Amino acid sequence: MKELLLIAVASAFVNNVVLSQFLGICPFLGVSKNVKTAGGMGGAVIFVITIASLVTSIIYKGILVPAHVEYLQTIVFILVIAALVQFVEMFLKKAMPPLYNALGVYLPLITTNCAVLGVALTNVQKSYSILEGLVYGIGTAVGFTVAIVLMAGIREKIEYNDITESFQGTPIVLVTSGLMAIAFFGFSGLI
Amino acid sequence: MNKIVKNTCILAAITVVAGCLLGLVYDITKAPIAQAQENAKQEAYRTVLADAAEFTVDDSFDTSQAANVLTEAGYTGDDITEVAAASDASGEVMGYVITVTSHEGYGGDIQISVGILSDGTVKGIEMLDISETAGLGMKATEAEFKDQFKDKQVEKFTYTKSGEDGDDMIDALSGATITTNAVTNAVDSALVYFQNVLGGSAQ
Amino acid sequence: MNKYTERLYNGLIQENPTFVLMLGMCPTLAVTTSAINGIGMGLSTTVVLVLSNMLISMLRKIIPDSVRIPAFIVVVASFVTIVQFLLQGFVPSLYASLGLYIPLIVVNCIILGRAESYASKNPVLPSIFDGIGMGLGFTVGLTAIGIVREVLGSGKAFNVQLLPSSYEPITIFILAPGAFFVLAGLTALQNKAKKRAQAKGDPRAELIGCGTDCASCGKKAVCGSAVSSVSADKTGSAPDVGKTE
Repeated sequence: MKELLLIAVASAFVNNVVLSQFLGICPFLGVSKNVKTAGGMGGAVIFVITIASLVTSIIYKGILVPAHVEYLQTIVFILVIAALVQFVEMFLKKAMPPLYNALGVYLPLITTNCAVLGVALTNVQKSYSILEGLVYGIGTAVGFTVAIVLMAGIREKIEYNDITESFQGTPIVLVTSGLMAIAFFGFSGLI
Repeated sequence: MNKIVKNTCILAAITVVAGCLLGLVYDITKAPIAQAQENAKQEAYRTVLADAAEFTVDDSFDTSQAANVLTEAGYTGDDITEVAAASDASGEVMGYVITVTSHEGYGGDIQISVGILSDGTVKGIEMLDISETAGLGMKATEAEFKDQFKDKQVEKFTYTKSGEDGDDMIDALSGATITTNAVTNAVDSALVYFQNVLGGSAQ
Repeated sequence: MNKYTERLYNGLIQENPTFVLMLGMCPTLAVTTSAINGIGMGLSTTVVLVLSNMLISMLRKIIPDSVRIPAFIVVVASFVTIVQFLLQGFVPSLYASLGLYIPLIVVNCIILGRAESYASKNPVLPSIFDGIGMGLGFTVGLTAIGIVREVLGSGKAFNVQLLPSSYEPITIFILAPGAFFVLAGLTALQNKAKKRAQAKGDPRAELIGCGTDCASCGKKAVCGSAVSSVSADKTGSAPDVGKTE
């Protein structure tokens, strides 16, 4: 239990997926203009990463390892993730329209979010069990959501600031990310 | 409908060809990869125990026995992965290289080879596998840090943040206490195994 | 300028993936802790890009339109895995320092973007040169960022001590925040260039940094092909580019 808690805290805050591992930078910069859409993206990412980390670790342990084709992991994982995202989209559309309306537009963007593939590969690299992998996945996704929502909150305020012309737009967002990354260093005392 | 079947077939064919090709490349590169890993290991061995002429991997090494020894001594975050006996030019065993995997690293497992002479002197350490933060934990791979372990004959090492003196004191890397702790514990584990199993004793 | 050198020029300068299009930000930020890592990552990506561009261009008549994205992904993923094996076997030290980011080349926007916007619509040879140009442009970008971070963060470049030992390294530049700061400075410069280009009435001004606001590769691919169409207009050599869905 202690182990799992440690993995969760470490992946969500200490080794924050965006701010210290640089995975999922694209959506982090692109979809953080306001808190609401950022929250939606975060929700979709939590949803997909949770399922993807579970499915990929089951496939890895259940099929790739017994068949001695571990070297196919990259190709299998990315296909599984792409198919999974499609499937989740179709399923949500049919079964849970309200949730689909909230997350729908973000789902197709997630296939190419490197955080998802990153989690699947890290699970293998750190030889996590299926449960540990699941916890790691959820932790990572929560970390992503925390980072993107915080960023969106800050960006809403930045709108009203007087910023040097050259630094308007992406540069100031990057500077902000840098400062957030420094702040997140503070979490390393937790473990 | 026909179109779907056709498209699926094409996609499946591409995937199958890609899979077979990967299998082929995997087979071809398997030997060089193993060779590269072996070379890296041999080089690390030669670095940590430069005087030795030959290294023989101890085939009788018992993982569970090693784990028991370490657990008893309180080192639960480390595993002994390999033990190799080092012999000098005349074939006499002059020391051991003990490879330890530490699970206490900040960015993942750290694998370290420790060279120990028969009298218990640590001759050097070398990282085989380390993925710590660049600029902080990665400084553990620099000579300045590694040389603190060199030519020391002690029972166990302890790290210090306040710069205390003493043969058994290791100055912690600033900003990377976790890495320092992992490396120090890994070296201590090697010493424990050496003292308890390989019959060495530290004065 | 013939159309092959035009492709190289296009990738290296005109549409430099790092400085102009801002594609592939994950590896750009993550592996540029040193110049060597930047070069290593850049060249690995170049190899994958050239091979995948070549194969996708060869198969462009066979791959059905509706399943092209999964087909591209399979091709790219295979090449990435092959590169991974080769690095592991022949350049193990680089393999160790790039780690997780090698398999993640698969989701690098540059590769899928080029496959979608150039290789799937053009003959083999230009596609190969497009891959070389883009790949080298990426390599130059990563190496430049790597040098800046390494010099500021540890006083070295390519592991050679450059600054006198009296220089106290600003370690933060090697750590995560430094990556953001360096890139921020870079994009600010780019913004300045864009403003200047706009003032001069250069039509390419709109393209500078056009990848920045794109949230996905799909959009980035479109963005990339919009750029290609401009360059095609200029040279009039590459037919059929710029048709976006």
